[in-house]
Amino acid sequence: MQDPRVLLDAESIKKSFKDNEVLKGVTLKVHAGEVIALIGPSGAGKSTFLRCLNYLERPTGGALSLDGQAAFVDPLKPSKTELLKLRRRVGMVFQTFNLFPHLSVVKNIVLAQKLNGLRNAKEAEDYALKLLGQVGLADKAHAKPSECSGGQQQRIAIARALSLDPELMLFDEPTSALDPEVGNDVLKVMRDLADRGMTMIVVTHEMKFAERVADRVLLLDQGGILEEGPPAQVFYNPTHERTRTFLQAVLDR
Amino acid sequence: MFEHWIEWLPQLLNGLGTSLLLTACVALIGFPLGLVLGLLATAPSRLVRALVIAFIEVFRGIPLLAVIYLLYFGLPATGVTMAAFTTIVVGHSLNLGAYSSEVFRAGILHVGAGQREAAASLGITGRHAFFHVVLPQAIRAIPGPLMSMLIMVFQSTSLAFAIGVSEMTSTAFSIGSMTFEYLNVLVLAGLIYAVLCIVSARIVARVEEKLN
Amino acid sequence: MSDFSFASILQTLSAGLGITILMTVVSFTVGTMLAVPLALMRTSKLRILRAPAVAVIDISRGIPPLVWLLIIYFGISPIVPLEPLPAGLIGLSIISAGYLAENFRAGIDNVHLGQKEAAAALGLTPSNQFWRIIAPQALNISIPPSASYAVALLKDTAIASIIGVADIIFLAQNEVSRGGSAVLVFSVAALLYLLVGIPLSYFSRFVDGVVRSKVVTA
Repeated sequence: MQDPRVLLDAESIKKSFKDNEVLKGVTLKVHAGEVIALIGPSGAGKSTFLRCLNYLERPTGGALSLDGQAAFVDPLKPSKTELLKLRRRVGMVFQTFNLFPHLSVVKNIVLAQKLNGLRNAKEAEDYALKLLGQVGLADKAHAKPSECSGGQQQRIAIARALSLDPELMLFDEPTSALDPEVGNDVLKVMRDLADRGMTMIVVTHEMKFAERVADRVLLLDQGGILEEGPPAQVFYNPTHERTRTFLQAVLDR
Repeated sequence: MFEHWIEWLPQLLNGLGTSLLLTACVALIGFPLGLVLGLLATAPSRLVRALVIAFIEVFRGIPLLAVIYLLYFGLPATGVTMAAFTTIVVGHSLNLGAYSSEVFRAGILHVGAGQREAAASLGITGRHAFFHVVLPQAIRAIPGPLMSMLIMVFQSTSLAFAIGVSEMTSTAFSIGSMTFEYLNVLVLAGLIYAVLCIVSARIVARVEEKLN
Repeated sequence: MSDFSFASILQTLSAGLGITILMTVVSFTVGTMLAVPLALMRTSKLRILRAPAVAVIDISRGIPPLVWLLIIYFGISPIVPLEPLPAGLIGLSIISAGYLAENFRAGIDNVHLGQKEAAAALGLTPSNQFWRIIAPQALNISIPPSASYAVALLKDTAIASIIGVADIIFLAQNEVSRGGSAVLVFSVAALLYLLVGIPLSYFSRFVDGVVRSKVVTA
C-alpha cells in the first residue's frame, strides 16, 4: 500500500524565458515512495519542470512544498538558506552525468557530505564506498571519472546524489546519452532504488521502464499536463488523441 | 595637458598612417606566406614537412626584434641593403607567416577525413578535392584567429621605433624628446593604439560569434 | 684587440641570458598574482567589480608592449626615478597581468555549465561551488595557454633592451657596435632564445596533454 503522505507538492509551476512561456502552470503532488515518469515530446517542458523542482531553474510562478511545509517564504525570491535546504533534501541526476572531473570517484561522493556537515571525513568515505557497492562499482572508488565508461559515470552520479540521503530523487533523461545496453545497467540501479522505496521523478524516453517501474505517468505537452494516470491507462487507454500520436511516434522509432 | 593633445594629434595621426600602412603590407605578404607554409606543413614529402616545421619553429622561437636587427644590421654585410621600412615589413612578414601557418594548418586539418572521403566517393580527388571541398571550408574556420593576429601585428609595428621608421611610436617619442612631455604624449599614443585595438577586437569577437 | 669568435660572442651574450630569464620569471609571477584577482572581478556578477576589471585588462592589452615600457621608463621615471630593469619588470608585469587575466577568465567561462549545476544540486553554497568545483577546473583549463604565454613572454622581454636593460639583445647590439659581425652576433642571440624557448614550448605542449583529461569544457 502506498504511503498517503504527500512528500512534494508543486502547485501551478510556471516558467517563462523572456516572452516564451515554457511551463503554463503544472501541478503535481507526489506521495512518499511514489515513482513518477515524465514523458512527452521534446520541447514539452519536461526537463524545465524537473529543474524547477530543485530551483536550478527559477520558476516565474507557483509554489513548492516539501512534507507540507512551503519551501520558500516567497517562491519568486528564494533565500540562500532556503535554496540550500531544498537542494539538500532533493537529489538530482543529469543527462550528461556532470561528475567532477578533477576529483576521484570516491571524492565526488564524499565532497557534498563533508561540505554540508553531514558526516566527518571517515564516515563520509565509508558511506561513499557503501553507495558505490550498491551501484556495483566499488572497484572504481579511486579511479578518475574520465577512466569510467558513460554507464559507470551515471551510476556514480546516482551514488553521489544519494550521498546526502535525499527524500526525493530527480532524474533528467538519465539514459539518453548512453548506449542501450549500458543504459540498462543504469535503469537496473534505478529500479532497485524504487524497490527500496525511494520517491523518484524521472524524465525519460524509456517507455518500457516507465511502464514497469512508474506508479504514475505524466505526459507533458506544450508546457502543460496532457495526460496523467497509472502506466496501463496512459499507455493502453489514453483519453487524448495527441497522446496516441505521441506514443505511436515513440514506438515507431 | 589636453591642449597639447590637440596640438600633437595631427603628427601622431600621420605616424598612425605609417603604422597602418606597415600593417597592411605585412598582412599582404605574411598571410599568403602563412598559407603556403601551412599547406607545405601538411605535404606528403617528409623532407618538405621537416624543413617547413624547422622554419616555423625558428621564427616562432626568436624575438621579432632579433629578426629585425639581424635583417637591418646583418644583411648589408652580405650585400643586401633594405630601407628601414622594408626591413620592418620583411621581418614582420616572416614572423606572421610562421604564426599564421599554424592557423591555416589547423583549419585544413579541421576539415576532417570524412569530407575528403565524401569527395573521393563522388570521384573528386587530389587538387580538385582540395580546392573545391577542403580549402573553402578551411577558410571559413580561420578569419577570427587571423584577425586577432592582425591586431597583434598592428601593435608590434611599434618595434619600427627601434630602427627609426617614423610610425606612431617614433613620432610620439620624438615629440617627447623635443617637449620633454614624454609621459603626456606617450600616453596619448598608447590610448590611440588601445582604442583601435579594443574596438577591432570587439568587432572580431562579434564577427566570430556570427560565424558560429 | 677584441675577439669576435662564435665562442667569445656566446660567452658575452650568455651574461644577458640571466637577465632575460629573470625578466620572464618575475613578470610572469607578478603578472599571475595580479591576474587572479582581475579575472575574479572580470567574471563577477557585480558590475562595479566587473567594469574596472574590463577597463584594466583592455588597457593593459591594448597599449603595445614597447609603448608601455617607454611610458614607464621615459614618462614616469622623471617623476619616480627608475632604473631600466625595474621599469622593464613593471611594464612586462602589467602586460602579463592583462594577458593572463584574460586566460583565467576564459578558463572560468569554459568550465561546463553542468558542473556548476551539479554542485548547486548537491547543496553546495555559491562560494563552495566556485572554489571547490569551478576554480580547480578553470585553473586546469588555463594552464596550457599560460604555459605557451610564458614562451611568448620570454621573447617579448627582448623589447626591454630598447630602454637599456642589459639582456641578450642589448649585449648583442653592444657587440655589433664594438665591431662584431651583425649576422653572427644576432644569430648567436637567436640561438640562445631557441635554446631556452624550444624546451619551454615542448614542456608547454606536454602540460597541455596532461591537463586535457582533467576537465569537461563547454
